[in-house]
Amino acid sequence: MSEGDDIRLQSAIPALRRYARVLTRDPHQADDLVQDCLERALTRLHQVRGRPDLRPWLFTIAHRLNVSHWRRLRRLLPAMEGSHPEPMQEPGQIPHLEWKEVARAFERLSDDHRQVLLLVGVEGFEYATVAEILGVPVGTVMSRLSRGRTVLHSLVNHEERPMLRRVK
Amino acid sequence: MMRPDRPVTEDDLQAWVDDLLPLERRRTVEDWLNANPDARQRVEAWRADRDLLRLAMDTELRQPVPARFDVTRLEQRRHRRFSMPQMAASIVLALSIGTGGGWFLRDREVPLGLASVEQEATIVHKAGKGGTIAPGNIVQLAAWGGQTLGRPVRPPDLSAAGYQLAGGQLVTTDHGPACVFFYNDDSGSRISLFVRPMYGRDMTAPMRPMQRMPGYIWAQDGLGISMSADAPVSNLHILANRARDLMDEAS
Repeated sequence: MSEGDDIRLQSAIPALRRYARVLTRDPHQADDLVQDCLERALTRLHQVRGRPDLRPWLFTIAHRLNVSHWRRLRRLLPAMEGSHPEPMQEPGQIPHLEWKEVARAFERLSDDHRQVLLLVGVEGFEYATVAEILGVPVGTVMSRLSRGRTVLHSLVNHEERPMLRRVK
Repeated sequence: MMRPDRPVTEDDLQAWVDDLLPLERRRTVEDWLNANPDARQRVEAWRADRDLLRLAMDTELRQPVPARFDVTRLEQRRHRRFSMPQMAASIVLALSIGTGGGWFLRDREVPLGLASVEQEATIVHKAGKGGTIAPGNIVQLAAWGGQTLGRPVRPPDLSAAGYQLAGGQLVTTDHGPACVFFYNDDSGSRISLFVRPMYGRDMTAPMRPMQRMPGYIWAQDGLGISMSADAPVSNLHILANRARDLMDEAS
């Protein structure tokens, strides 16, 4: 592995950890996922030589690992369906009211909506890249994005309102 | 190519929020938003939410990255793992007391009976260079090991032969838990005594030399035992016999 690959991989890790937290909703599980993902990535790094931004590639691996992990877990623990994991810890910063509101509302969104809002809105990926990471058509990305943004905004405005019905 | 003046769609509004519209199309959408203030309010609110979410989540990027995600280290570990000899591949060393962290290898071919003891003992002897518990805690280890192995395990006293008990580890193997005791002599040579229960096969077996490293292996009273050394030791066979006799007396 060349030094450049090393550096590009290392510099993508903070974003990978953030995405893993959105995927798992749990910082410890997220870091385990990151570890699995990095181990896999290291064996395949030759496939992406020369790619300046490794995030989409790493996120695709993380997403697939997470899907298969949950499939396994669901088989083992059918009773876990419907239980709600603890929300992620707040960012360790002095809470700013508006950030906090949006961040809290974000935690209440469905997994599909949270992922799309992170990948498009926060990471700034193009729609086709997001479609590839998630393994869905671009049209699905667009409808999740539109729905996710609408739900997020209604939650920010009306915190007390119950969670809106989850839509695919 | 799509006409830039085709009707504005929901997807266009999303792309406006994300700054992903081509210049021509953006003009069309801007014009349309000017004529539809409700829609403009909606997309501007989405954009504001997006910016706030980004601000909130960017605090996560500034968290220090734990050492376990150091790419250079991960890479080194990977190479070390893949360069381990084939025979090392079947053991799982999950628990070691002291500073030695657990490491594990995926199982491949697993030998049976006494041969598996030999394989495990070889790996543990080599892996045990760091991370052992202090001699003072040996009693504790023996008690713990005895509990885990389901029978008392006491390290034989080899001081008469010049070997002092220097430490030990409780390890797990493909065949369940095992105890390892380390001995040193004055010249710094090191031997290890690996002990684990046998299961159905080779419950007792005569002593024979180990094949891949200096050492002897045998089974007595349902325990598989190996004594191995870093380098050939002249009296290792005598020492192994001594250990066997002492452990016979103890049980």
